[in-house]
Amino acid sequence: MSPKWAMAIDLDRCTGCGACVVACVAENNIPVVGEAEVEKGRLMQWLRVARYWDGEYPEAQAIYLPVPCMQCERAPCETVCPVYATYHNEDGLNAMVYNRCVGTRYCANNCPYSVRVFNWYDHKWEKPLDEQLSPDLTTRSRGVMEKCTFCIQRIRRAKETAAGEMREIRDGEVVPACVQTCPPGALLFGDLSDPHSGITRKLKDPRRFRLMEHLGTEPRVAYLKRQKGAGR
Amino acid sequence: MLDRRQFLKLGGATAFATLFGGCDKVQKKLIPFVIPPENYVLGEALWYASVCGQCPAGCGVVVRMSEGRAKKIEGNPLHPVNRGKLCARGQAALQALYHPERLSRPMKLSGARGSGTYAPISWEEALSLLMAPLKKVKAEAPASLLMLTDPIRGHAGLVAGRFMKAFGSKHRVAWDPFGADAMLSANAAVHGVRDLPEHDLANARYLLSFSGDFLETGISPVHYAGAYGRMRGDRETIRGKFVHFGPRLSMTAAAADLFLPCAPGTEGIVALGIAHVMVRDRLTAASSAAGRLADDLAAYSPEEVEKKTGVHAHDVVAVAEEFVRNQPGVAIPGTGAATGPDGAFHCAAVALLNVLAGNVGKPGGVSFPNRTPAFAKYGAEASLLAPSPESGYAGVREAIGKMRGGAFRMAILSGATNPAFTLPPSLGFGEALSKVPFVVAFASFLDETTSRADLVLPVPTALEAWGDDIAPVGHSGAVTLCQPVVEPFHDTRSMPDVLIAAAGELGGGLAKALPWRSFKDCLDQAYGGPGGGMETALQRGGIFGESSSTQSPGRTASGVLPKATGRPIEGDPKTFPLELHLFPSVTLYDGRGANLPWLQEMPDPITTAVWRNWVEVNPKTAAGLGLADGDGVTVTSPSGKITAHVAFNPGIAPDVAAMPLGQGHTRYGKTANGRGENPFALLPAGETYALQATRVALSKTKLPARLVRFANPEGQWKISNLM
Amino acid sequence: MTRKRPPAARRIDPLDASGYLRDVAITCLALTLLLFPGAAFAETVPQPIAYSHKIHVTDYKLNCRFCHSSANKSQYANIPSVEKCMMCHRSIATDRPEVKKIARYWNGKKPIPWNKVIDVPNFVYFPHKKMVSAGIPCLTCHPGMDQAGTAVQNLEFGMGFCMDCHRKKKVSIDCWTCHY
Repeated sequence: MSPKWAMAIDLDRCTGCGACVVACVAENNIPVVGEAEVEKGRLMQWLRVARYWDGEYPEAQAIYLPVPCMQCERAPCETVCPVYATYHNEDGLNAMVYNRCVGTRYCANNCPYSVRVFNWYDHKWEKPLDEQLSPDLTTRSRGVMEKCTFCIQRIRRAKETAAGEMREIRDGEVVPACVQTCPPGALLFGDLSDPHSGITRKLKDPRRFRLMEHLGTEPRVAYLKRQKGAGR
Repeated sequence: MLDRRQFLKLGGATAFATLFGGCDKVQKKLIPFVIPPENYVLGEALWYASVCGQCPAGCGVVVRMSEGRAKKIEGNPLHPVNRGKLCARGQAALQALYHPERLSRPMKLSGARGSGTYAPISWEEALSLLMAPLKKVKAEAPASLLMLTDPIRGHAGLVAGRFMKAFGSKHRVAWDPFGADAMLSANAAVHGVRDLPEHDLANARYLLSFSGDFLETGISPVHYAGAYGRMRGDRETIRGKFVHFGPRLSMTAAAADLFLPCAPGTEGIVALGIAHVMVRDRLTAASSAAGRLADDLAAYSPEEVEKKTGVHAHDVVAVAEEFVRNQPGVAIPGTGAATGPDGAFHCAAVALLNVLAGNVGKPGGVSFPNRTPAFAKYGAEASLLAPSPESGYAGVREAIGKMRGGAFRMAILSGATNPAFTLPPSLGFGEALSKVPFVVAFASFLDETTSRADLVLPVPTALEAWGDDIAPVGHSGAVTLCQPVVEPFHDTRSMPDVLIAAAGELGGGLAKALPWRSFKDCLDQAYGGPGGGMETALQRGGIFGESSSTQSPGRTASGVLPKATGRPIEGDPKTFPLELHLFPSVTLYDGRGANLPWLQEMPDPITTAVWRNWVEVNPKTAAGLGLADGDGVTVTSPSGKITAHVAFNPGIAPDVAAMPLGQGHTRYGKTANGRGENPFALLPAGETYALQATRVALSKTKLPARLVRFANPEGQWKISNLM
Repeated sequence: MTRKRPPAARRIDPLDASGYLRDVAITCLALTLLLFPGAAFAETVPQPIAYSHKIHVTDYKLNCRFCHSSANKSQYANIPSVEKCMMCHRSIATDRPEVKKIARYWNGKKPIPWNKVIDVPNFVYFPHKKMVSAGIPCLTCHPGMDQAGTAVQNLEFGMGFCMDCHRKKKVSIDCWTCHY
């Protein structure tokens, strides 16, 4: 049975520290664009930690919401791609194939979560900063859309290791970079098709919700609401 | 022989090459090893353990190595401090390793002194340039040697300390702008232990934080963030509650269930108000401490506290009752409270809450584990390996005075704390340093401090060097070890190595004090070396045996209530209406991260600003001053004047202006330079060091640049959906 | 109307001397033979040593993986180190001129600067170990290597070639299997 990868983000644990953002940048060869390009809305980070304000002083509060690609089961981005560069793969992931992409940007426009980023130009890594680039995945060139892949290179590596040892992938064996580093342990990743996996159990929590559920996109990223008060 | 198909293909290729000449003409090479390293499989990554040097927390890391290059840094899962996790700053250490502006060769001054222009030289020349004045000073006036570093831990500290002692100079000064002075003296007063306590958040049911920043930049952010996560979600039926007091809605405050803003500099009063209710209402078991303090606490009734701090009396009572009802609970002071003029008072008041609640030495409370059993064999020298985490301000100030008076003939600088950037400019560090005839700096980068040296010696990063470390909190006796996980990327030598070599050449007592061939040799002797268990320790990233011994508190509580000094903060409230609240940047820390593009481009958690600094004010205060979000302002204090952009923070006290530290570099490379101005410039150069030490005025100014923020591209959602 | 595809995404090649192992980079005459990414052809690529696959594989029956030892362990099949060559040639055929060349590299502690013959485009993830563990003979993709002198590539690696086999063996033809 093919896995159903999913991520759970526990807002009760998230502190908004941004360690996941830098982990993602380091893992996925994401370029730095500079101040002027960020102002144009061209920040290339695949994962953002949105911050929302509520209330006024002295009752003001802030809440953080890490937003990676939701890996929607019914992804709005897929239906609008004219060249099938983004499609649903056999693991139920919303795949993005760079060498097919012709850069129409329809997908990004149709994404309600605004998680897709576009390569407006060829990014340069000043030498020797390019020594850091991971050989596990490509760097993307101008005119190509990109987005969070749930660290497909790590999924592939785990699959190969498991196949080499003639076994199934174990729960917790696939860990995307953001999940790996999250200091308070707010992120959890796993296989929903396994009834005993950590994520299946985690998502039975009544605090579970998904972003913009009314759109019917069926995201594979689920959130757990923040709680109030002591005890459960 | 070519067949037709191949001929056509070749023809096509030629045409292509003519049209798009230059793209792929050079024959690609395949360069195999002469002798492959052991266990090496091409294309398969290897992980090596090391230590993170991006802040003093001392987290253990593992480095992913692929084809001889470090590719990614993650937390070491075996390390007790961070348990496999790592913050943004730690992960960005990779960019420091591969930084284009990293010093790759020794350099000697080629322009005027202080100009920061250098010419590369060989190590032979560099060492002879170092040794000549060193020998002269040793022979003529050994006490005129100054060593100014950041707090050095582990055997590197032993090497530096012994070197200075044997050299004959007692002028070894360490500087850390976020030193825990206040917390140390508070713990000495209240607990009788001059050390940082272990706050057991993970097992607490109730957490009180006073201007705490333990989730972002405190003493050990990754350690405490992990414990915080466990406090929230690891227990079946218990979810720890978190209440935060402070003048600013920080990232840590945002995580609280209840954020109760208080006036700046009143954290200790709030804590004593809570203590008052605990004693008055006999909420705690009658302890001797409670009895002794009852009279003194009478002055801190909730109503009185409301008047002074702005925290409602009923909130003080409610928090006190909840705190007692939900034991074990723990109270933790933060940088915001500790770095005020009355830091020690605030920290002592907070420590008192732990005493009154009876949490000292209990799970879910505070304890003082003996963290340095491994260094007991060094006796009195143990403090060289595990120095007290102080700022060292008094020492630096004294040293600056002596520099100016011409007392030093030579200075050795090292470390990332960059005093020329992080000390109040009115202390005149740079100008005083120019009075020292010969300055040598061990550094990876030219910055405001090292660019004033006469000789700059490049050092390896933590990923390229041998070393050991002991973290200030988060363990009970763990020693972190590091080895060169990557081949040194540049021609660098570590400071302990150079000092050991220099001692050998100077001979006599110095050679006896530092009897090793190299720093590696020193570590080998300390940790058993190859065959003595050191390999296993290096593989695991350290020796993580937990000691069960604790430092017994001298007294559980002093009978005396901590006294506020009542030292006023600088500036007339009429001219300078806002109190300045400076805090370490979540991304740049004290400024050392400012040259790393990943950190510059990581949106700040509160303002989502990137690449520039700002001043946070309450929107209502700003409206009164005629300021809009994003406006340029001049921030004026009695001691200095800088410009910044306004960023609204709806959760900041109305009489406070808050600024992150870390930006405003002028000599730290092209990534860091020119990104706003340095808020350290606003601080007075007083006898004591405090970050919350001055008042400021804001006036609208036109600034050429704009503050870029990574706004929420999907728009604002109803927060009630998320909570 | 046809639209030009954007340039291919780049995968970092760990053996590409331009980016990696610069410290062992060699000064060698830049050859101007252009290789189409994705296509290689049976032109003889000049090599620093006139190595013969035929002698080693066909005449002396060495297993391919004796030299290309990580083919079953890694994404890359790897080119043997000079040490690997010297394991045998310290005592075998030491008088041959080409073997003497190896010894010269060995004595000078210099790597042999082989020229790349088989080049899959950077946006392809091709794990040798998956092919080996699936029991695909090396000669399926490298036909004629056993009869060749220095390495040749007699087959064009178009995506169609990969897909034919993937379909026949009923293995995944998901784009993300090879392209990410």
